[in-house]
Amino acid sequence: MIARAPGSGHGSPGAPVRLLVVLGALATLIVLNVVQLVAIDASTPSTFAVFEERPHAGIVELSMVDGSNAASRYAMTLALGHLAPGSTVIITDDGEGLVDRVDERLYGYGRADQVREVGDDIAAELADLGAHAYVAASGPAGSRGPAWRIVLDDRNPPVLAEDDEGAVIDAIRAGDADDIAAGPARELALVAVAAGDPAYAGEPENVLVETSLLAGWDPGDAP
Amino acid sequence: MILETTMALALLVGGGATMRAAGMRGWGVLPWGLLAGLGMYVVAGSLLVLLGAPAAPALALAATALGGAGLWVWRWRAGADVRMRGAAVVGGLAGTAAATVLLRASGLVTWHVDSLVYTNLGQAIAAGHYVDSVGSYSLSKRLLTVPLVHAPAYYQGEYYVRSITPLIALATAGVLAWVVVRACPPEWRRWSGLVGAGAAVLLLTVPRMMLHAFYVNGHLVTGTAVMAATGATWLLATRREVPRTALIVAVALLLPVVVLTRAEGAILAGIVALPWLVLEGTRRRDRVIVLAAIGVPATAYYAFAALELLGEHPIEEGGQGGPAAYAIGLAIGLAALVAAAVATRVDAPSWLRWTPQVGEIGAWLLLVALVALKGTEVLVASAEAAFWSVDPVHGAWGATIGILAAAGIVLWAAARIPIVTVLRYSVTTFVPLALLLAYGRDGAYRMDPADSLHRMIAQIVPTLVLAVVVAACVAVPRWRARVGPAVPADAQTSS
Repeated sequence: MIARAPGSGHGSPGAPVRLLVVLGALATLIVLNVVQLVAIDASTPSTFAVFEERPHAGIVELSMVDGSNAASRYAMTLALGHLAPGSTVIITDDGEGLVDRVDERLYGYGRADQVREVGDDIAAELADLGAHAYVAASGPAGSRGPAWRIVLDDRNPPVLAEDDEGAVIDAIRAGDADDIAAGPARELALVAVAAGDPAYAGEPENVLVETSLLAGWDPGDAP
Repeated sequence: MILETTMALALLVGGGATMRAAGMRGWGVLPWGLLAGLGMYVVAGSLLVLLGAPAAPALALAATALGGAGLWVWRWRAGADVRMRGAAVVGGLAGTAAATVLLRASGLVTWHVDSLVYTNLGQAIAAGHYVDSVGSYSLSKRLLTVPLVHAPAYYQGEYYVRSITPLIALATAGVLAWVVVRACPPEWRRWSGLVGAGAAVLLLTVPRMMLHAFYVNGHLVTGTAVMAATGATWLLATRREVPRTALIVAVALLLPVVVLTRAEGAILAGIVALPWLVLEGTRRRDRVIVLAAIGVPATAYYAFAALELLGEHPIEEGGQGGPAAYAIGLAIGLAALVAAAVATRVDAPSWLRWTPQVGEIGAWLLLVALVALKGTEVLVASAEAAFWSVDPVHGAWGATIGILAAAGIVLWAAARIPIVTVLRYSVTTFVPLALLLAYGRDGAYRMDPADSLHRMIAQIVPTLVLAVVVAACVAVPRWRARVGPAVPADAQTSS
């Protein structure tokens, strides 16, 4: 049973001996810690290692390793946040074929100003996007998400650098995000399509496509 | 760098002024102030986020600094002795700013893919889009403290505040040292400072605590708040010469942090507070404040989460555990509020003193029942994972916590330690709680550095260090306690 006695708990008369024992035990354990710490830190997975040498301290950027859990979930929205912050993104409300919890990521790293859900499917065949379409960023599929592309319209200035083999994500990972040509906010639709890359044939691909490229797209369509 | 320094100073000014206004003196204002400021920021920020306010992190930082400073001015104008030495104030602020700059420049950081969930939510909070974007996965598992702590990074185009976690680790060590110094026998005099410093260094050098001191996640801040609340309530229960109001204020600011950091936070906050709440001498007003500090944030957050769930069809991937988590959180929050309301008029009946022991035994019995119902597979695999973590030779937590746990068991069994239940409760209930969580999620823990059990251990290590060091300082051997005269009269309390 607990009984309360204010002012209780001071030590016994053997205090000086006990003080030495306590200090000695603390010192011994600290030495043991330091000895073990060196070996444990050296054998720890790299992102958990405190004294790992890294090119920079950007943990989100460094996590964008092709195919990884982090990249396959976050790379597309991270790229959007760098390329066109403040954009509006339209998605279908069933989210079929899209990377999971995408609206949270569009508003977070994607820096979207608005994410609108529409009831109808948004049709976007990659082959039908026309001559004005260019790929501004892309990435492969990974353990937790599909391959992805951000496709913009070159009639909407400024025209951003065309992505070459994942150059945008490579720049972000290297800590050179400031070198990425960024533009104003745009309106895009996020759709799941059959993969255009033969390497992922039969798998879905997530495409963030500027709505002005969609055949028959009427700005009034968006709710 | 300017933003991070501003943030650290806002937390320190707000929290330090509050702690001083509440009666704390000396160097303890620095670590306690930083943690109290963190609590003020999390409380203000959570309220703003749930109300959908834009620029919640900036407003919450301003509210923390101005609120604390305003409280101090109010107390000063009312004639209270809240004076501070100018040199100490300048030194504290300059030291904190310098530490912030150094920690940021060090580039030291550890992370995991979960860290990206937290920092992504922080970006959404700072952009004013949290309510628009958050789903049941993040509501049930990621909560608000860690996203809020890193949200200010948005204002400088980054994703996390690099210095804040190690600053919290330093404040944790400072609070640990402060509590240990006050627990030491008075005849140790200045040597008690050495014991406090030793306990602080011991905590910071535990191999996996070093990881958590730089880890973008919520385990350290949970462990910090649990240890600080445990130490504060133990001192309140056993010492007359402590700043009582300041410690109550600190507990009232840190328990909401426990509630709002981890999925099991509401349960953990109840575990931390329970042994002290049911002590017969705990003041009615203090009891009401601490119960409200659990009830208000738990009720508000889980009511918000439940409302969000109503608009989510179907429940998103990973959020299937949401409804149960919200029900438990809401039940704890409402129970704490009802208890607070009752406590305004009624003292705790004497039979309530047994509830910590009944709760602990009940947790073990519930575990036995679950093992009987669902089999031993989760239990065995989780036990293996636990040993893998704390293996004294090959485990990544190192040998120290095993030694401390063994020392704690010996001390608690062989000696009388005043109000030991307050001191040990969050440590000893961790084992059944962790195993119940494993059965609750229908998945055993794994032998993996990224596994949740391996990381959750950080939530009790600060309290383990506190409990064992304090016990070593104040324990009275049972044979000596039976003799009688050798034991100070005020130490004759039941363990």
